[in-house]
Amino acid sequence: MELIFDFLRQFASQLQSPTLSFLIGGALLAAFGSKLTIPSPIYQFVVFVLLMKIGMKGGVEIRGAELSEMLLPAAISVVLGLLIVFLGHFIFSRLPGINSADGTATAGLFGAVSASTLAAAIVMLEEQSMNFEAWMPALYPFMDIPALILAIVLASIQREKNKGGERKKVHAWAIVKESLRSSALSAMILGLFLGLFARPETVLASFYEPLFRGLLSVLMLVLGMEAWTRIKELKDVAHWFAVYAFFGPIVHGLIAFGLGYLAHLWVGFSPGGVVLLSVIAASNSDISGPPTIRAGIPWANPSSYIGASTSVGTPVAIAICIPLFVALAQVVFDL
Amino acid sequence: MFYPAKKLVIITEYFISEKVCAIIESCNGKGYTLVPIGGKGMHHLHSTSKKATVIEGFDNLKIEVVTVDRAVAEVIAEKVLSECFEDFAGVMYLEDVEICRPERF
Repeated sequence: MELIFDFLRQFASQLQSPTLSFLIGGALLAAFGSKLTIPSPIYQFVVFVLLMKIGMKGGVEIRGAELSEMLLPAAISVVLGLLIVFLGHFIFSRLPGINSADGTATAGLFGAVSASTLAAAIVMLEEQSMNFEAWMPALYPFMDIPALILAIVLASIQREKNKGGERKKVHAWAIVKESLRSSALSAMILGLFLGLFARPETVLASFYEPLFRGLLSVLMLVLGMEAWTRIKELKDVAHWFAVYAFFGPIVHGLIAFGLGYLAHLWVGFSPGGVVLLSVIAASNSDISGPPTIRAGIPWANPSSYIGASTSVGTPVAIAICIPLFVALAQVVFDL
Repeated sequence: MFYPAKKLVIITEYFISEKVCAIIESCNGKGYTLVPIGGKGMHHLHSTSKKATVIEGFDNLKIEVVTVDRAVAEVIAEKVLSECFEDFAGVMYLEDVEICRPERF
């Protein structure tokens, strides 16, 4: 009962937070048919600055950290990425009226990670003064890449079964390269290296950090507008995609919370780290995952997985999952 | 001044454009023009606005190949149809055009 009250209190206060209010504001603007547009180059610049800051800050702080602590959470991330895709693939293959490739592609996106949700969660944790390990953002590719590869492999096997013919070979290395080269991940990795091996503290403190929250609000506005615009696409596909997109992030995050809690008991993984791990698991790739899935599973209908992820999955991950796991951590870890 | 030629127009997804261009080159197409486009067909409305879309790469392109040899256009069209359009959206048509400097096509 206490948890529920705590969550409701958290949730009410989160609605007023810049992150969530801009997301809702963006959706409202699109719903009223507003002509306001944020141009594409600005959006790309915003993603670059956010991920660069996350990477650089992580890199600077990792310098003094014990990296062996990262091993277990990194392994858990890989397991989570794979588990979410297997789970989604299994669920969709048992639902009526679903094209199996569409289901597997959707599961792939939900196993992968959203850079914008990660950024929103980091701000939320900072606001709650909840500390997390500096290397946490570096877990992103550990969950993201295995999930995308597994989804493409599963869809290819399924297609071979259905069609009989020769199976298209899955080029795993090409998918890894494609993911690492995507705008979000390459900015974050460059930031990590700069933080580790250069001395970017002055530019981090004078430029990237002051801009971070303001630009995140712009990103949330774009996400909100996009979520509303894409709902139309979701109407044309089976309603199961919307159901999966609503409950999937919550279930995935809870599984991650459980595994993170075990890591907390075994190796002292921090409560903030557990929350961030849960949010990463709850998130679904919205920037770089869809093109990887489109290239790897071209026979799946993009409206199903993009509609599910952008118009339902991402808002649920940001608006429900982040406050839910913060509240859960406050109760479980007695903060 | 002007000489008759054929223009093969391929409208397709950005994802497959590299492959289409490789087919054009392998079939002796001497060059091509790429134009970002939008419009409406079987696969929803594709926006032409500069508005930000969260997802990267879901753009559409018009690829134009001009050739003096109709057979070249036919081979390219056949290959694109069989190798690219099974999984990706695409429209193709052939137009009569008149060109300067036919040796370049």
